Amino acid sequence: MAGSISPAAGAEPAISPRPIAILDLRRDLTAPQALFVRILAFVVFALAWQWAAEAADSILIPTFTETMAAIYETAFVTGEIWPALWVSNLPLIIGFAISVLISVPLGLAMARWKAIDATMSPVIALALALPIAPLIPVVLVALGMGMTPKVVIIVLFSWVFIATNVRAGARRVDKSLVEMAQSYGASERQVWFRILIPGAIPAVFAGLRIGLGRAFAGMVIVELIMLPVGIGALLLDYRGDFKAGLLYATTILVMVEAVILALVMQALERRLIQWK
Amino acid sequence: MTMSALSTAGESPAAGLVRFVRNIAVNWAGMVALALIWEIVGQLIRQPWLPPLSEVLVRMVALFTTGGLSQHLVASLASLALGFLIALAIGLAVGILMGLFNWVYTALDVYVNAMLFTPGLIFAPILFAIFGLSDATRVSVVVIYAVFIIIINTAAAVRNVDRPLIEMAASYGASRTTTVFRIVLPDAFPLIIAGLRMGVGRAVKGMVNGEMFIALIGIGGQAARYGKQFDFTSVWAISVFIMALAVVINQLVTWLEKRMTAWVD
Amino acid sequence: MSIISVSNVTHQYAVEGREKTLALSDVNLEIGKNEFVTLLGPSGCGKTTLMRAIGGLVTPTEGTITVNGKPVRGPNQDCAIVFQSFALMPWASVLQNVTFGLEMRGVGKAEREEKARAAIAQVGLKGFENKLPKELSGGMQQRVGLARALVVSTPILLMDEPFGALDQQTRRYMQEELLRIWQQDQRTVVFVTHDMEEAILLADKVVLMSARPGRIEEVIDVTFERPRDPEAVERLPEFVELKEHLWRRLRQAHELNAA
Repeated sequence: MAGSISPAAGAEPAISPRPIAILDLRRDLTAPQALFVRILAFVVFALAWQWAAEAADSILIPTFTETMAAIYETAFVTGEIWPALWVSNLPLIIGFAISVLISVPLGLAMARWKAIDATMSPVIALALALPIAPLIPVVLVALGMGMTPKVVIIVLFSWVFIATNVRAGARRVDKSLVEMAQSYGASERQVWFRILIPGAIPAVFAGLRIGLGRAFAGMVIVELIMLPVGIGALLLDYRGDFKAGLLYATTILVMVEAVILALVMQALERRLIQWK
Repeated sequence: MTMSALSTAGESPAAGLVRFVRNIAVNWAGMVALALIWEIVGQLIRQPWLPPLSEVLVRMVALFTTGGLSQHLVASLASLALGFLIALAIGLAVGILMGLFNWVYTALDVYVNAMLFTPGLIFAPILFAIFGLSDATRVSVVVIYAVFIIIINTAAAVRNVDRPLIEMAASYGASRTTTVFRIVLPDAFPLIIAGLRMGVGRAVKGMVNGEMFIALIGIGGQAARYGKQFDFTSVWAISVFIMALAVVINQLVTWLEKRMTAWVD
Repeated sequence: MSIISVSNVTHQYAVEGREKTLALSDVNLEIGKNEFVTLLGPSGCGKTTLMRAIGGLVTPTEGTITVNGKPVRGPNQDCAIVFQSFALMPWASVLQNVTFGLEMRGVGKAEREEKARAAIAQVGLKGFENKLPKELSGGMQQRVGLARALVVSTPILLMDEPFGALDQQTRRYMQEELLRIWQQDQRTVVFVTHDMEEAILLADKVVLMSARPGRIEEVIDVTFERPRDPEAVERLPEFVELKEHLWRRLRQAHELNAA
């Protein structure tokens, strides 16, 4: 029978070859195994770095060991890094706080009232698209040197991300919950405080986490492009003086701060969404 | 699907269309209003740091026709393209390996995430120390900005491939290699492409920030130069141009993405 | 001689953080050539695990399964599986999806396309060869899955709640189609379902399973004449009796467990 797809009568069944292994993409490692591979990766990286630096033999490329020594030196011996970190982080703290105070209510308002949402929509679009970095000198001339322009720049870097995340979170609150509350006679204020705000908290925190990351990026960019006073000054000095070990060390310590901030925010976020 | 607390309920398709058109009109109206406000405020306050929009736009044209900005734009785009391609190659390779092999993923994901949390520009002094004033510095900044988001998205895309599809392939006799090339990679493709789109966005930022740091070549470099010369009209002109460029590139990549994933539900 | 032989199969698995679950406990089953067997039971009774074990997707912790004379050690060429979630490649056309199994077996392009078109026609999807899965309804997608399984001409067909994701009307239509197709070219079928009527309607033998631990309660022969018309068969008194019998057995097993 041409074109038939039934097994032909009396045909020998196919011989099975050796069994096919099924691709398992998520076979998880145990905790000790995980720790081991991560440490192994780090060791491999450190060895490769050491070898490459020694091969390059350049005054500008420190070895892994030189860098580790420099970290120790700047953190515990001369202590140079700490005042620099403080000087750089102060505008970060103030700027982020201001950004939160402005953007969270703004995001909630945009979610609740269409008029505000419509008015702010082009501003938001502009703020998301317009690069802040080239405009830093403009801010400086408008506001002079010192703390104020740095704070303003950090606010500019972060506010729109906080606002949009808060807005998105508030919009996602289940409408039926609002209706339920209203049917039991809740006032506008009660709807806000008992339904909308608690419901939006996870997204608010996500917005804060992202906003902090952006504010931190803003701090770094200001330091490196325009106003090197804290960390930026250290980095540029070390590079100018060919103190490569300290240059790398300071960079790594900034990275460590970035990671710590991110982890803290993540932990806070997880703590707050326990109920979800 | 739960209705959000603030969307309208139960509207007919016709009403939805009207609302859609109105939204677009409102957005455009908003843009026009913003532009008008900028123009008026700029004319009124007459401060060097906020020139009126009209002057900014005129300067933008001038910079390109007589100011030699086109050369810098070419240099910028060249380092953007090269940097992105390098980030693409590294990102896909590492991401796919992480996706296929769980021990690779576990080993590296902490470090990739740490790099994602870190602002890329912090590495600019180091890169500058290594590569000096050559193009390699700007290209490597672009790579640093883009590569990690590509890695993490590619790894996630590969890891999250639909398991029934993999079982189906095995049940019909596909070897592991065949499964990777015929099932895993095609299924991961849409999410990988999405990661590439994000990578392009980051690459553009890296291009601008890196150039501003070096302050010599490229449109970012020119912006920095004009900034130091207190020529703010030019600074605004270049910033607006960069914004437009980023939007155009993003639209282009999004369009490409949609075309390449036409089969997705 | 049975074509499928399940001996003393036990399967335990552990989910992270929870105790080990006994999915199957000392299961024994013989399935003859060209028999249509349904595995019926509530969720957790191990029916899907048993089918996947026969198909080589799961290796039982104890016991052996022999298919076509050979012990099962992984996915093999004697079984073709129809998946509950359809498992179609969304980027490929209907034709490309159906030829996949043949392609894996090294069949040449012209031949596999010819066979695929025949299978596609057989499941009633002629004309849809170049459509993408997203352009098809659920029932049509499953028919593609069925065509793919039929076209590789395996002696055994394993079906994992294939109509579970479909609405009632489509399900009834697919049952009729399956009966018709199986009538045309018979092969051994192991069909997993939790739907009692479906189990009796389609089968020569219903294997009733119960949960905690997963085990076979009873194997019942179904002797209604073929070809079967679903409307007619379901009204037969013997059908209703059989259904009630299965219900009672299941409830007994449930109460025994709770005790």
